[in-house]
Amino acid sequence: MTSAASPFADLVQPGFYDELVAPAQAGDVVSRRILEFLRGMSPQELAQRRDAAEVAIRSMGITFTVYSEGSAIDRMWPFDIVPRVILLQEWERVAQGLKQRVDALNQFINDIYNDQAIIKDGVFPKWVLEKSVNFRPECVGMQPAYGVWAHICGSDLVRGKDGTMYVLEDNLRVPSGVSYMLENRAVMKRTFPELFEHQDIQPVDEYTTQLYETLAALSPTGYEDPTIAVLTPGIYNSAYFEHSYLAQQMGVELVEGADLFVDNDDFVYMKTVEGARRVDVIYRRIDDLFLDPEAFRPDSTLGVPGLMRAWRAGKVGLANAPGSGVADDKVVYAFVPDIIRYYTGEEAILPNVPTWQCADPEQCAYVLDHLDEVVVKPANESGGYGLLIGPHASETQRKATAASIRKDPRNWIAQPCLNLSTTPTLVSRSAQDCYLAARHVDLRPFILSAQDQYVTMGGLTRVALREGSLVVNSSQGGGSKDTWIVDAESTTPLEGGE
Amino acid sequence: MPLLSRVGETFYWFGRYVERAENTARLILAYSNLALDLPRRSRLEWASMVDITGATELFLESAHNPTELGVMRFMIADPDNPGSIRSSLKLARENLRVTRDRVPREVSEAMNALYAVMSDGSEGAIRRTAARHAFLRNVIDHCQIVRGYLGGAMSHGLGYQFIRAGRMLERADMTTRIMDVRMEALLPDEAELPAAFDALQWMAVLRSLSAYQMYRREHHGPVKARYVIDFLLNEEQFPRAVQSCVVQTYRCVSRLPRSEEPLATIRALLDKLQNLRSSVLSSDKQMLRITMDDLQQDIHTMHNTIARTYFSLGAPEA
Repeated sequence: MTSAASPFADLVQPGFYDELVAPAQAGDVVSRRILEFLRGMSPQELAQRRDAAEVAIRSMGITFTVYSEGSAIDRMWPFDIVPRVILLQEWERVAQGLKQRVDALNQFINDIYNDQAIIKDGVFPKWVLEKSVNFRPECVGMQPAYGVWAHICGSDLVRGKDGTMYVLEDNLRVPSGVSYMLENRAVMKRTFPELFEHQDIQPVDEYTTQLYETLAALSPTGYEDPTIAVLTPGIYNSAYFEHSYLAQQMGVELVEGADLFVDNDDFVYMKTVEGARRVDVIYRRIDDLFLDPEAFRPDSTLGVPGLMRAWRAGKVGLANAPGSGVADDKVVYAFVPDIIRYYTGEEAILPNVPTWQCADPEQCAYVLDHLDEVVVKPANESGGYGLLIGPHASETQRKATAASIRKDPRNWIAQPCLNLSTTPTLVSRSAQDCYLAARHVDLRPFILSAQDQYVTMGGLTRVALREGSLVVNSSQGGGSKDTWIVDAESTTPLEGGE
Repeated sequence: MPLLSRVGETFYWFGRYVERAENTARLILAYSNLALDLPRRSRLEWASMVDITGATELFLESAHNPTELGVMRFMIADPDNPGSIRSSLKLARENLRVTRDRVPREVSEAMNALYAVMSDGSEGAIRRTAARHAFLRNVIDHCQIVRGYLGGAMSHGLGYQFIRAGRMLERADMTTRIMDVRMEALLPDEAELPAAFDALQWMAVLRSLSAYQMYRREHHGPVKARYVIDFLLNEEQFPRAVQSCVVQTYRCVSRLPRSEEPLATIRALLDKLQNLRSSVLSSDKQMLRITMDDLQQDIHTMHNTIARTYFSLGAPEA
């Protein structure tokens, strides 16, 4: 193999790992083929493919909803046509690591709501639980089927400078994005059909069938053909497209809280034009606190009065189980390697991002001394609220955060600044002119758990479309890519031999 | 797969709102044409068009003057008038949004195109008579495109029956309202009209319902009130005649489950329609008005029965 270091140098940002260029330079045929294919296209051709993808997205009606000024606006889904590639051989190990992690987290949740053995054994401190805003006393003593609470988990993976894949966070409540993973593949097949001809790109379509099976397994009645419904907060929710899409793909009902009621027999019914009809399993996409005004927030109009009663009586399956969020706050995250060791007797296959817990006086002192180097996160806030990115923050911001940490150290954690990996991404100079440049990406695979476990082939790759940006969120200038898990061993070699 | 009550209701209102937008466009078109036919000394009472749609109170509370401009703005684009073309289309679009996973994509696209026609053209149509005609025809055409895709591309299951029932009910209602339009109502009381205008007003009524040509095939000679009333109430073959709309509603509802009660209500209305005497109605104007009001009440009862049976299934009383 001749040196392949030079031809793609312009696609790499020094100091960062590139998802496509690094493997190509290490001799991977799949990555090289894709790079050379893209390199063989003129700026005009790239622009044409980009436009073709846009047409496909428009005609397929793939949107996400932004709610502002009192009305909901459907925006086109921002999609980048350059795929993000991961080799099957690496992915199999990642998938194994995800299964191990989610299995341990489910055992942890079940333990926390029942025996609390992990606390009694001194592995997990009781104060973390006492501070948790996602611990639900209403769930104590519940033992859902298979001991599984988080049936659908979306874990965020990032790759560091040396190519190591880390778990950044786990989303155990109502993770979203899987519909875009599926739609991205459909768009890619329309846009770059020829790339699919030369290599074994693993299909992703199995997800909705697997999701259906997972949900059906939760039917308390054990019927062959349970009635399943997806419970959505409604059309103004930013993920409504996904709720509607999943219901449609699984062939199940899409319901809102007002469509359901719990009768005196504790079963859940939906109101149809033919009359009341029993619902066996609910895939709820509503947060815990809005789920049941009788049990949680009494002002919730999104939920179903009595739903918790029905669930506790074993008359309906709920995915994810209420209270699952206890395992995904940021302080618990720091304990996940211990949690995995405690329940499985194994070391974690996928590493955590190194995390300092300010609850520990020594670690806290280190964080306070290095505020200009680290990322500081409050334990129980989401959406980036209260987050401090040390190197980019002002002295005043750092001082304010330091004061907050000193006031309540248990509410804070810190992590090193990650050099999030990049992958080549199309940048438009004008309508007719595009070029490729490195942009930062993360990855959200989805893990299903009931009687069996299933991990998506890849997941949703999110990309920060702005140069240098690390923000991959679609509402803040982020886009997404199709994620290819490719079997390098079955790929035809490059012409001319190696 | 069962149909959720909420979704059934959404379909029903989608059918009604598209039909309402189209009917409102037809009504304004007929009025605008009539204005051109009137002798110069008579002035058209534009606000009586508002009376037909039952929005008099709302209009009086609004900031609009009872001039042509004020009435046009109120009827075409006022977001606070739920019967304006704009409001009807906005509501139709919102209802479609909820059910978009159940209707063919062509319907959503046609609905978007219809909404664009309204947004782009309404301001010009309000201000300029010349632009108004083309705008209103355009709205009607695009409503027909939406209907066409529904009929030709959507499975004729329960959801479709609700859309159709909504459309037919709305149409029956509007036909009775338009029959109420008479020159006496349109013109100030003191106006005296030559006899020829009696025919003219009924021709305007027919035209606003796209019924003139079809009526002519049945009745030659001068347009007579008695025949027009008979045609618009009971001509089973004509799709905008009240009886035809009610029969269509009956057919839709008969394909729904648990339909005994709504069907009984609809049958009672059909019996009543068949017993109306057009000879009496054409000679007694007061009687015509009372009868039309009465029919509108019956149509409303029909709506209530359908809503009660299918849409308001509540949790049983604890």
